[in-house]
Amino acid sequence: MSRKDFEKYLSENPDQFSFTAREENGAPGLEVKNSFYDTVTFFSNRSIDQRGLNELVAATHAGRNVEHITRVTGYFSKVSGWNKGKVAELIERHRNQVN
Amino acid sequence: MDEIKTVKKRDGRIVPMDREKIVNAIFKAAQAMGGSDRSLAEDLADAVVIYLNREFAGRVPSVEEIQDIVEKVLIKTGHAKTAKAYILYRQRRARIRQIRAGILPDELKLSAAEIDSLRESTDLALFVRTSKDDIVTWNRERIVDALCRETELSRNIAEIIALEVEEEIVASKIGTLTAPLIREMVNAKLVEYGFEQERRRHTRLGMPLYDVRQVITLPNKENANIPHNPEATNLSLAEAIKKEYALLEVFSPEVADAHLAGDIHLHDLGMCDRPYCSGQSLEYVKKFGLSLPNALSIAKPARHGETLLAHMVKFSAALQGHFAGAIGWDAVNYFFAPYLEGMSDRDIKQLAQMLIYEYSQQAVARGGQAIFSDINIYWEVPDHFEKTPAIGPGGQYTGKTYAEYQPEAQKFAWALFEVYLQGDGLGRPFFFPKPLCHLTNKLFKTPGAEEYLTHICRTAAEKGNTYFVFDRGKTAKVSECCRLSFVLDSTDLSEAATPWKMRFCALQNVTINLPRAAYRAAGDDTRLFEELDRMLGLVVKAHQQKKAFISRLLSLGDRGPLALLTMKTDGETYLRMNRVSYLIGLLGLNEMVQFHLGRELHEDEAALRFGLKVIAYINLACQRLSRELGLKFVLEQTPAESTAYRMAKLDLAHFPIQAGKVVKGTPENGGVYYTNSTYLNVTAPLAPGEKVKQEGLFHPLIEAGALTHVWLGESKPDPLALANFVKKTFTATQNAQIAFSPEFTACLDCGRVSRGLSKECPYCKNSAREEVPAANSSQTGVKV
Repeated sequence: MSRKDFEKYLSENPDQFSFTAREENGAPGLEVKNSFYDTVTFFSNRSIDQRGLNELVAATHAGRNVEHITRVTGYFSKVSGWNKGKVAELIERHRNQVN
Repeated sequence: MDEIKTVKKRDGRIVPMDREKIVNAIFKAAQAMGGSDRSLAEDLADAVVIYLNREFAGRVPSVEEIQDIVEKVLIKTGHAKTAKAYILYRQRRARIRQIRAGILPDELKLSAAEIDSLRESTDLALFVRTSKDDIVTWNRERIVDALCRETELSRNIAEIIALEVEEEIVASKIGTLTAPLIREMVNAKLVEYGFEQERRRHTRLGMPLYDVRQVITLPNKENANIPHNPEATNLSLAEAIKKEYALLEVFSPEVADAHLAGDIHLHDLGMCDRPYCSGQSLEYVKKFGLSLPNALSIAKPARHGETLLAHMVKFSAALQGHFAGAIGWDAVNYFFAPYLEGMSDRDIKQLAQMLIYEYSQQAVARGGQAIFSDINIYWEVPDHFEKTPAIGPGGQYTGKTYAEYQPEAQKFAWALFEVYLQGDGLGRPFFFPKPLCHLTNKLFKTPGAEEYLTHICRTAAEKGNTYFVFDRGKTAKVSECCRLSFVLDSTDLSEAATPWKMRFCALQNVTINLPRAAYRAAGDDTRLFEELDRMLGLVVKAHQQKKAFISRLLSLGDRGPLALLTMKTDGETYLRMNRVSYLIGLLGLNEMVQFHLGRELHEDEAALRFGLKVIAYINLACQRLSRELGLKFVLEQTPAESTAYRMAKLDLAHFPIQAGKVVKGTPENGGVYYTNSTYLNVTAPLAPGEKVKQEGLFHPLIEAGALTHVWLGESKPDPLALANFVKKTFTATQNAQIAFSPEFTACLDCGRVSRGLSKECPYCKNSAREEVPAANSSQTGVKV
């Protein structure tokens, strides 16, 4: 897609994305911040030209589009649905090895 | 000049003089006559104050005396019409006071002059948006009718209130009237006249626009078992209203306030019109088929295993609509066994797979919520079902006992755990149905027990699903929910010959905020136990009130909302109210002891002993209350998924100094919690054996269910090591139930699952990395 269209898409989703123009190793491009996944990704103009929107967006969260699963209290569930207190407990849980 | 500073109210109290009140009263009277100049009202009020200072120098005027002077000032300054409205207003108020005090009979009518004087100003051509999808013309009588119907106020008083509200509507020049707005104006008027009880009855339940928008657009974080979709938001909205309803009508103000203040927690208020949770027997479905009230079709008893499964799942869904919490099934592998005779191992595995997928994918039922489901599993035939005549295809006795179906039952149990071990299509653990494996003394004498134990431990190590339920000695129970269990007493066990009768229910769960008792006791033992008694008293009241409400709904029989629970297929109603139990939940024992003694449960022996003393005391109180009141009160470790958070938050607000010393988590970002039930601090670096043993000391005191978690994190223990650990727990501790919890990271991009909680998928985190990493990036760059 064109860099212009990519920029347009990013600015239409300001909650998730912000971007600045810069160069990397002499190649002009765009640095994209994805706040949902806490990532910064540099795209050269050429790489934007060669790729579609889905591929570009996926690259901003590649490897980070994950869900966490464990027992909340007496059952398994996705951590993304937990309240703040439970998340705090999860971080502090003392994990055991059973040998 | 000596200024008047105070006023004597009608009830004798002396309060500061408030000039604004005089301004408002005059302006209101003026508005009723079409006036709109507030500054004039201000000037007149100043005149009243001057007059007062002159007349009452050196003494305190009464409200009546002030009102007399307002009248005089209005007349003397030539505001006769306003004076008239003011006088009529005073008269109406006086009349309401007298009617309420019983001095005047309440059939007394408004005089024609009064009504006329009000009507002349209220020739209204207003439209009202009603709650029934309609726009109607203004009609004051609707207010009168509603007040009479809903609050039992006399028609006469209702007329006065309606007239006054009408006056205010006219004066305010409101453009768009809605029924809720009018209702709130009427409520404000009821408050003004001191009709507090009537205002409560006249309350409108619902949510602000902003809240509804939040519910529709943002996910629910109170319960991790609720997804986010239109069906789920329906549930949230309905629950919000039923919760308000419960606090107004199901429970007394005393109990409702104790809940709101956080002394106790009334669980599942949004589902106040149903019992809490239940344990069922598959024999009921096998014997009677599926015949539910209001169903469009009726199914005869199943002839095939798949059909039985379909009946079981549908019945579970129907029950989910009638209970707030879990739906558990007893001895599932044994009760399925007569349908498995002659089936190949492959077909049995297929049925096991169907069962697990059917439950785990039911996130299309009530509120988009998966059915919180449990299956109880026995390797050996449990003693109480050994001689029970087995029911098979068509609901007929097969002529054999369940002891004779041990081979089929074992094959089914084995197959179920093969499925659990595989996990779902991506290899993630199944969330439901939860497998509750009963371990008895008899198990260890049954052939194949070692292999079976290793098999279910492999699943525990890999996926975590297995719950190990310890039934030592003669103990028998049905387990379900997060840790709930119904211990079978002699009456229950005598029903083992007719197992379809074996259905159990906990009507309600009420949890005590234990740390708060310690805050109030301020280190004094006697006060601590007195405070626990007081809280228990509230818990008992809550249970009695819920029982009365559910009994009222049940008494409506097959025309009532709980028709499913009153059906009498086997001669008794499905829900047997005389057999239900009432749960008393515990929260934050660790923080209670920490505040009271300065040491946490795991930190020293004395703290642990004191914790045990507290729970033993509450348990004894439960037994005493059960005897005295004829209700079966039992202690439970509350799952407290949201309660541990809610109560910690409330205590930080109401007892900041005390709670600040013991609350767990990260208060700086609001992630606070109390340690669940009787658990040791989750951060305590105890060896698993020690944790299971120490927490297990509490379990015999907690009849309705206890559980110790062993958090595995990313570690994956050897199944044989786990099996040894489980055996040791059975023989050397009093622990009632344990579960091992591994953690998983599932990648939504590449579909693979890894062990532990990691921010990045270890399999595909580098897939976007080609040649050019971004400067200072936590992510990678795409090729130039």
